[in-house]
Amino acid sequence: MIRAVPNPKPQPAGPTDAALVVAARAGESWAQEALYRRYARMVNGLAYRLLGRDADVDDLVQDTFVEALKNLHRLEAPAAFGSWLGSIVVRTASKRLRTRSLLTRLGLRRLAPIDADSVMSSRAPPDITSELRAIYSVLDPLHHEARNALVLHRVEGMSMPEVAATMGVSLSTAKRRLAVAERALLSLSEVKEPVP
Amino acid sequence: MNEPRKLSSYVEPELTGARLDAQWSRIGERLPVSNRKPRWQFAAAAGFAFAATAAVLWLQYGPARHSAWESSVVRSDEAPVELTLAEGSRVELSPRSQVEFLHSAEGSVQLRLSEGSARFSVSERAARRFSVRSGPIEVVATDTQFRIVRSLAAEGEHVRVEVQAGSADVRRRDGEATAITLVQGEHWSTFVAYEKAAPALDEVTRMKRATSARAATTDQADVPVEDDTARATSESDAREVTPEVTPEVINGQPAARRPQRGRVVQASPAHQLFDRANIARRAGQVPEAAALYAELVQRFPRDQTAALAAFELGRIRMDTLSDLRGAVQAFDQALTLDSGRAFAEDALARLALAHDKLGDAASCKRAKERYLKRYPEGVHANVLARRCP
Repeated sequence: MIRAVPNPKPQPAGPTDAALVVAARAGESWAQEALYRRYARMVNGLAYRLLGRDADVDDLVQDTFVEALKNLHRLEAPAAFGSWLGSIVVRTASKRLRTRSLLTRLGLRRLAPIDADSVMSSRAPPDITSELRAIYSVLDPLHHEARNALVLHRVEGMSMPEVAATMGVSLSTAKRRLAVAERALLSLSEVKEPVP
Repeated sequence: MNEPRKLSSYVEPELTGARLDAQWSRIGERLPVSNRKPRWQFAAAAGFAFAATAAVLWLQYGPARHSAWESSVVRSDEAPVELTLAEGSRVELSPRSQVEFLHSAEGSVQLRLSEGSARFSVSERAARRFSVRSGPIEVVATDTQFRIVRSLAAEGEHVRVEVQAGSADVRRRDGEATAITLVQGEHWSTFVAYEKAAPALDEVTRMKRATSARAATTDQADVPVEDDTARATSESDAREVTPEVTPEVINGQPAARRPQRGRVVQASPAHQLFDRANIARRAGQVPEAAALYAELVQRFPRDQTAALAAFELGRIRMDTLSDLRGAVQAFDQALTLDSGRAFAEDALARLALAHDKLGDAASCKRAKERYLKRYPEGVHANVLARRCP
């Protein structure tokens, strides 16, 4: 389809992700910022839910966008920028969680447990509240891979194929990781039954 | 009932405009300079590649304006490159871009943008045709300033034309007669998908990058295939540059996922529907997403995306639309279409839960037994064990 549109600058409805990626690859700073503005809330939200705390969210978001914008040439499908960015968030969060866990084990860092009530919205209905409390209460002791699988599947609502794709692993590996987390959840007496 | 069921809706950070601005400010500080803003600079070293050569050289600049030689190939590295043609027009190459000078004569100038983006400032000359080819399109201009951006990806190529001054005609070179005239402030873009089948060896012309700073993975996917040489014989005033070649042939056949010369195809309707449905779902437009998934499954049941579309439809109906009967139907379809068993475990578990919520104990039990027989230690085994006893 051929169509001419006025004003080469982005409109409120905006150019497509693919168009922004193409322009950003060419060094157009407005396109880089447009990609950031378009996905900042998504990335901030995902980072927050993966980390379970507001501390470190800003650093994680910045690391994610810097990596993404520096490596746009690796993105084979420009239209899939959003899901690709999500994978980078998860990978970057894993690195942070791994480092944090190591520092904690070495006694170099002490982290207060996640306060689930401060993490979630006050308008959450009771069943949601209990489920989120259960999930966030088991996150810290979990290995970062199991933790991410649990957040992506239960909190983000991703299907297992999506979880696997986002984590960059096979479906069976994603399921194994989730199974570890689900077993931790089921050990809690007040846990709500997970939905596949 | 109107409250969203997705847990993530209730776990959101506090985001103010100031916080977002501060994040972007720090991100911008960490990006490489060439990424942040293109600055027109002169290349540090340069050379020329001629028609029969296999190497791309850098163009070296001195002061003021120098003309680029005809039949040469110019490629920019991390810095942009600016050059002037003998007839006065200017080309400003963005970083990591490449332009070829196909023909330069009194009556016509022809270039080809084979990679990246460039701005072309066409000097006013009466009775002179200035054209730039890029992928499937050609831009013809007089006394114009326009930019072309070409991006190659695994599935196809994207070309965008922006006119910054004057006017330019844009036409497709794949046989379609449609042409449009863009004026100042207008832009046009197209995405051309590659065909899946590998082209015949004798129809393919290869161009290989002599130097590249990119990762090997993208190199393999993004090597452009030029489709021009066949047409050169039909255009009396054009002389084609033979692309630098090191033919990429594996076992006598071209590598997979290369574009066919002179042929343009669109993404399949099923894939277009699937992409639109995913976009709608992620944007929170759930009813629209459900309708698109349903349309895909109905119209293209044999497409490779149909099984996943049915599964996603089932999830949407179950979790958000409170349509349990519709969810059952969709999960049944997903199980029928999912010959690879990729979603069978999740679909079976959800099928059992949906029946349970409908109060259909017999169907719940049947689905549960199917699941437990197939996946005795599956992820959902513990959950299902407590349902419809």
